[in-house]
Amino acid sequence: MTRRTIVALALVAALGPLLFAGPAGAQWPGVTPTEIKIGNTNPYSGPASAYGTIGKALTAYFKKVNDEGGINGRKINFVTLDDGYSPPKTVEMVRRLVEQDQVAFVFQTLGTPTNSAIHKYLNEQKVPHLFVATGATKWGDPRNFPWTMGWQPTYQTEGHIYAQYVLKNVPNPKIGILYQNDDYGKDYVKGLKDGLGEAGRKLIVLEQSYEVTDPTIDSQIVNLKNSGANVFYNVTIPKFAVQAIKKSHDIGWKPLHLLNNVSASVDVVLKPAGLEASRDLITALYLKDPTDPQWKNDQGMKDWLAFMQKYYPEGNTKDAFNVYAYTVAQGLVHVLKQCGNDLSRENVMRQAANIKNLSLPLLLPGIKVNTGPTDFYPIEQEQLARFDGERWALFGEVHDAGKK
Amino acid sequence: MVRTAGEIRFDAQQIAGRPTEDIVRLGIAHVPEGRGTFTQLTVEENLRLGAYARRDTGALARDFARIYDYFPVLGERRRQIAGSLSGGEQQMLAVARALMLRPRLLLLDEPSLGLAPLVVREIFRIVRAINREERVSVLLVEQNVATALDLADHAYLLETGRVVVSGPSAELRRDDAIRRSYLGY
Amino acid sequence: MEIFLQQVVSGLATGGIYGSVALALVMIYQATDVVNFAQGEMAMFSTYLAWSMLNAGVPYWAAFFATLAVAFVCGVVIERVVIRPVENAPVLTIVIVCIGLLVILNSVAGWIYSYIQKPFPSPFPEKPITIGNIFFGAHDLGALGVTLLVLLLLYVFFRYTTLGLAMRAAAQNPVSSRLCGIRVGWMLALGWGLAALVGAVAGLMIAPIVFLDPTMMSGILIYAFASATLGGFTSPGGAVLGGLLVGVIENLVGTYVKFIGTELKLTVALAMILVVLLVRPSGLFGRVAVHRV
Repeated sequence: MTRRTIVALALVAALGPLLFAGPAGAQWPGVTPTEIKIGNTNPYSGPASAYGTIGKALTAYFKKVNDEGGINGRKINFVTLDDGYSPPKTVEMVRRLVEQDQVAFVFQTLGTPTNSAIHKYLNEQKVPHLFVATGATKWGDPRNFPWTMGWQPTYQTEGHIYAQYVLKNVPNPKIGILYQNDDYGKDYVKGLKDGLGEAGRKLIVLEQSYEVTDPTIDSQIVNLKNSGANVFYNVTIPKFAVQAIKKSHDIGWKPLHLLNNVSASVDVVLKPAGLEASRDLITALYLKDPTDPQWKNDQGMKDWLAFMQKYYPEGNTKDAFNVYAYTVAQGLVHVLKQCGNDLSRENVMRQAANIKNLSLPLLLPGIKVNTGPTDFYPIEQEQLARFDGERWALFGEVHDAGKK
Repeated sequence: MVRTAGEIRFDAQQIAGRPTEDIVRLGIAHVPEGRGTFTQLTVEENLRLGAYARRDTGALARDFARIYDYFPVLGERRRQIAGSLSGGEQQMLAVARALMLRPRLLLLDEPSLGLAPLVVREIFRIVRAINREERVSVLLVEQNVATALDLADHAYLLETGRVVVSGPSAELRRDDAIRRSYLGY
Repeated sequence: MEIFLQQVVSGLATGGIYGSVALALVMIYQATDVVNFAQGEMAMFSTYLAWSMLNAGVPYWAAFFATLAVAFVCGVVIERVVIRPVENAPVLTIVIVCIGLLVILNSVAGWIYSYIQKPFPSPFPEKPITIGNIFFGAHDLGALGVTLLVLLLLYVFFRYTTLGLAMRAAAQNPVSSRLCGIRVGWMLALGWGLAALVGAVAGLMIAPIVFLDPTMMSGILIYAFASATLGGFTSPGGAVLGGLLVGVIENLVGTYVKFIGTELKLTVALAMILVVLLVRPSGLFGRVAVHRV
């Protein structure tokens, strides 16, 4: 390298912050008359890279939006970076998005530990942290974190729904719980316990946990069976859900089996575990399952398939994460349209907190998105479904945890 | 770096720079200084390794018998871990391992190093027997000049890396200068 | 009592898994003095190969043995191509190369086969065997049997064949081995090949239990290390027994020691590694190297 290039590089380094600050006099960070820049992190590598497809599907959806003319004449520039599901990496990437790339806001960053690591930072910087991809309860706390908003029904909401179902429908329930020993698992357990109430709590006969690093959960299943439980509250990620379903079937334990929504995919979990072993599982749903034949002629599902074929052909059309991404991207587009020509960070947040009865094509019939200045939980409705050996058969009414 | 020149030939073949394994396969067995015992293997396994490069594995049983004949102590301890042998026994094992190759040339590097005189005598007796009875050529490097000259047919005297005298052992032994400097009488 | 027995049986089943991977670790350690952190991912990758063959309609046992053969060759190639250039580098370099290999294999598997887990067939009957109220998974029993069979074959190979002897010699004393005419480089490569083969057997036996996905080995590898340390890194039999012990102890402690419960099971395994390293560094069954100078 010659001395001259070094000097030139040094100059660029010194001027960098200025050069990247965007056009002088821009009204709002990340927004020009022709573009909105949105930041995101996703695990494209590492142990959680199964989720990476969400980032890819979001990118594909915004391409579709841009091809159709963008939003109010502005194209979406979606900058998505790989954080490998590692919180320190997420911090690094999000700081880069905010300080260097100057994004308008951060959207759909994925994971509970990763989002926890940037929660405070984004709120201090007053950068909208919208529709995070995790079901932890803490994302809906407008009083302390007015710049952060969740998206999907929280794990606690779901636990609540199961509790009501058990209390209403199971005579003499004895509940055994298997949960992942982290925030996600504990949120689900708390939701169930809250739903059971003070008196109902003694219905829990055994709680067993596992670590993500555990090779098997056989020992826990054996203990649960021996506890005499007749209700099995299964709070596991797909890897362990498959094992739990198969193992309890193998050892002839037939409780009422409540499987958390996290692992409700027919293709990813129930098929590997065995359709017969999965019969009569109960879960709570809010999205249409792309592998469920009952949606074969559904217009929303047809549009989604056409989108997948055109914009994300390498994506898996059986993977529910792609349905998830499509739906949340539609939610964001709704918010941006509602913003009109005021794309200030304050207004983005204001409009996100002002969604009224929004129906999206791949939400289950009857489920609507609703937010308000004190309600930062966009989706709070779910419906129970029972697996009939082939598909999830919805039953009962749509439960609404927002109406408490 | 030491400057090197010249060549090493064995049986009319140039062998300098060839991989050790290939040189061994030509029938050259080397007993290294420090003996090179496989300390975690048994005596018998050490010997089996000695015969590794041979093709005629059919005659192995006979060779084991022959070796245990030369070195009865190794026969007694053949199931023992080699690392537990005494220094003298390990030296015997090293020679024995080399012989298992049925070599055409046996290289011995200071076999007397660190051993009691009685043991050294025993080892040299066996080397002589091998040389005479088995018709194996032996190239011996040894500081113990008297014993070496007794054993050898032909000798080279090296000083700081150069050959200063060479000739039949009997002649060297009669050389006055050598007698005074190295043999001490 | 019934719970106790059931937990012991279940512990033996998982312990067999740990043992089979520990066996592969010990293999490579014995043959080359390297602790191979990529062992688990190599096994996972082999299992995917078998899965591809089974999917293409190859009968189970044909796929089984074809996978072992391919795994063996791949092990040899990895040693020649990846490990050889750093053979004489410090231990840390080799460890880092192994970890690099781990990451690469993991990502490539994810890229080719996706991260969705796949069911993997077992050659054993599906119906569990029940004695009284205690049930044994037929696959668990079969897998344990396969592990013990592999152990026996390895024992015979290393103990009674000249090639096995030469491999042991090359690992212990490369200089002397060369003087015996042993091609040391190839012995190390063979060691990797054999370890890859043993790992592939482990993968094929584990996948029906934990299901096949690119991360299926990550947790197991930690327990395999605990097992190998407990049994001794120099003792194949010790590694398998170590695995069984870890499996059973882990279950019993998780069930009966209330403050540990299921939350601290992994900690128990790691604590075992620590205690063994402090009290008996060569493991319960490992050989202490004897040197007489």
